[in-house]
Amino acid sequence: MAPKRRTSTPRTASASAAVRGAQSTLSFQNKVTKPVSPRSAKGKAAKKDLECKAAAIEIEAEAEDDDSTAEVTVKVPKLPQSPPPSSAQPAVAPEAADPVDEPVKTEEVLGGRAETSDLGALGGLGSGWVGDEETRARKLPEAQIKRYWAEKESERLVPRVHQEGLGLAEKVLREFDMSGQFGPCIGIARLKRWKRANVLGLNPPIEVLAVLLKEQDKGNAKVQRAHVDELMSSRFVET
Amino acid sequence: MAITNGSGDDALLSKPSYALPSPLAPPHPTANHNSSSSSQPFPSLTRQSASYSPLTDFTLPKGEARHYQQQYADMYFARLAQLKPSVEALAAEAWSEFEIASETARKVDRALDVRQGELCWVIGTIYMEMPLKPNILDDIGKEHWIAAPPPRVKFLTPGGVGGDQTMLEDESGRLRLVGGALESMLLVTGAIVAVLGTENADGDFEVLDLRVPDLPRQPVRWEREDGRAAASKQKVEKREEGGKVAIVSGLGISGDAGDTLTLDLLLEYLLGESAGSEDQSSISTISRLIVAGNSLAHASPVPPRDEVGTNGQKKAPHAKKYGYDSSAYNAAPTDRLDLFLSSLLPSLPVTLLPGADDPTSISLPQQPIHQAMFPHSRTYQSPPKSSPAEPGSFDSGTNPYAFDLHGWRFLGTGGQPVDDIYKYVAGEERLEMMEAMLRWRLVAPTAPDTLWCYPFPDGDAFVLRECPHVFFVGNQPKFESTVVEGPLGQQCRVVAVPSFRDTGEVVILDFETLEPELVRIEIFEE
Repeated sequence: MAPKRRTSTPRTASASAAVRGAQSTLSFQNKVTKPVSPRSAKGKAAKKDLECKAAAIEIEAEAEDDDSTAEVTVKVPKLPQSPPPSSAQPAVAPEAADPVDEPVKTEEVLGGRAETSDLGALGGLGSGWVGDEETRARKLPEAQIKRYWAEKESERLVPRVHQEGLGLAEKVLREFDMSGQFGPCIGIARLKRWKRANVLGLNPPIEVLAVLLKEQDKGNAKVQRAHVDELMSSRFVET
Repeated sequence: MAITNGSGDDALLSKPSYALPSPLAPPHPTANHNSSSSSQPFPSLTRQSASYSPLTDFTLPKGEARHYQQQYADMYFARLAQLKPSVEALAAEAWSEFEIASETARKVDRALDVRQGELCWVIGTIYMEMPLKPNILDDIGKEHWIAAPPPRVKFLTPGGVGGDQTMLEDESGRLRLVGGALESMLLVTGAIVAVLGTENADGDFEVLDLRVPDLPRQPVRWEREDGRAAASKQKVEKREEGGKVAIVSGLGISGDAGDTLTLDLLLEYLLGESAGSEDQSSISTISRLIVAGNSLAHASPVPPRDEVGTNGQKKAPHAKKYGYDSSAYNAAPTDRLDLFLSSLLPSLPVTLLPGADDPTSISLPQQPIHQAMFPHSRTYQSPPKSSPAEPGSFDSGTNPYAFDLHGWRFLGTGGQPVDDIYKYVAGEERLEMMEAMLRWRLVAPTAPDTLWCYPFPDGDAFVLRECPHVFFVGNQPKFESTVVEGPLGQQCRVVAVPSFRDTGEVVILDFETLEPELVRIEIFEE
């Protein structure tokens, strides 16, 4: 057996130095040299802020759509509520200044898009698109959305109540939420719900997708969460 | 010793002449075996190999990608949406010219669109309202009161129809189903059916006829390999004829002294060490062993429902109800299982499915038992980051599990779905329930209702998209087998594998005929 030490000193050198007071110790409080993953930073912010929950659903939706964290990195500065994690991500901070003007392409960041996986009960593409709906929806003219909405209104005998303050986009999306044939609207982001209905072959209206993508491009994060979802979920704000 | 004896190193490498060579050499014989030193020529048989490629249908995403915020309603909705087209096609074909008293049946889109007195048919999900089903309030009550109600074998209300109701549900609403035609049908919560009938004066839907999606399309033998070869423009190599697979379940290793003998006998049988030469040649055709669940006895991290609230008194008086008492951990069962597998693996590839009592997730689909549980056997497994298409000799699979073995599509579960269906229906015929599962195209129909399950956001993974050639279910009370036939000529061999701990039986399935045979290992006790 090795001979025992006579003095009972603490084991680590830094602790013993601190005990002796001879050297200054390293402080790990403020300095983060490694970029923190945007997802964990997002997660912490979302827990504290009630309104960030909508953003979190969108982030998850987007992250699952594109299967790469690069897209998430770009979306971070677009949220109005959360403070940009500037200390954690010096690379993203310059983009935080003007988020809307130059959306960064996924292909240019971090070596490109991750490959799609065919995990998933439906065996579809990892991003959830079947065919070219995304491009078609982006090209859809505003007039067609107005026509679609006029058709929906004409199906009713009486005008809708309590919707005077809402814009056309929100009205279209609420109508989509209340269509039961596409599944429950609670607990799922609107874009994800549209994609799911599409993959299951239920033919959700392309106008709704156009509205969703337009709102998303504008940086409106709250649009992804159904209004009834907010009403039905009892999430209290931590003070 | 070589130095003292003066003999060279070659003497150490050659086999001593008194030892019997192992009759079943591993598929890649090493260079050290020097048969010239043995005097008697024992023919060494090589084990037949079979191509094996698993499917990842039931593998859940890892870590952060697994979400639990969604409700189960999404899963029911997706299940209905996935199965509706096929039921609709079948029902339309069957009932398009159906007439009663010159009234033709009409298809109705939603359950609430059914009008009273009108002959129509509608598609929806079955929901069985049974007061004796496990109820969360009962579970809470058990923790506060001293006496727990005994666990029920079946959920049916004794004494007839009483409180049990069958309902048809879709996104618009529910219809209560009544009628004599329901008595002969096997129905559980979660099955997607089309019902034909009318609404009577009470508001109940009287059922005249019922249709289920029936067996899905069956792939031809070797379809996946041929497809892959065609896609990559490679020539298909010649395939071996014959071969067998051994299926065992319910090894039930508990670390007690009592379970080692039958297990060792099974090991010797599979390695060919304990049989005569004709048996050995037939055993050498067994190309794989499938262990279908419950390899360990009470290794589940969550105690079963009936033991919640008993403070684990059955097992150990000091076991805590909540939290983890690490001093109570016994490594003997997993060590024994690991030893069993690592003795078997050099010679025989193994597929391991978890069961209700195994140390993995409780909710279906159970994820593969982690490599950390098998310190010796994991050298035969492929490294964690490799693609799922090359699993290595030891494949730790999910429950339920689907894989292609020698061209045939196999689908297997550890027994939980069938045991759960058993509680819903009055009959005792397990094969009927397995056949019903295939005809409903659902591997776990009762899944979110009484069977714990992952809340799939995008679609129900338990929906069968292709009919397997062999459907095996482990941990059943006895061995049974039949062939289920489908409307398009599909033929599926259904095998109920008994628990090895109780019966000592191993099922051997032949690849060419898909006929099962039984091998029983018993110890005669005086």
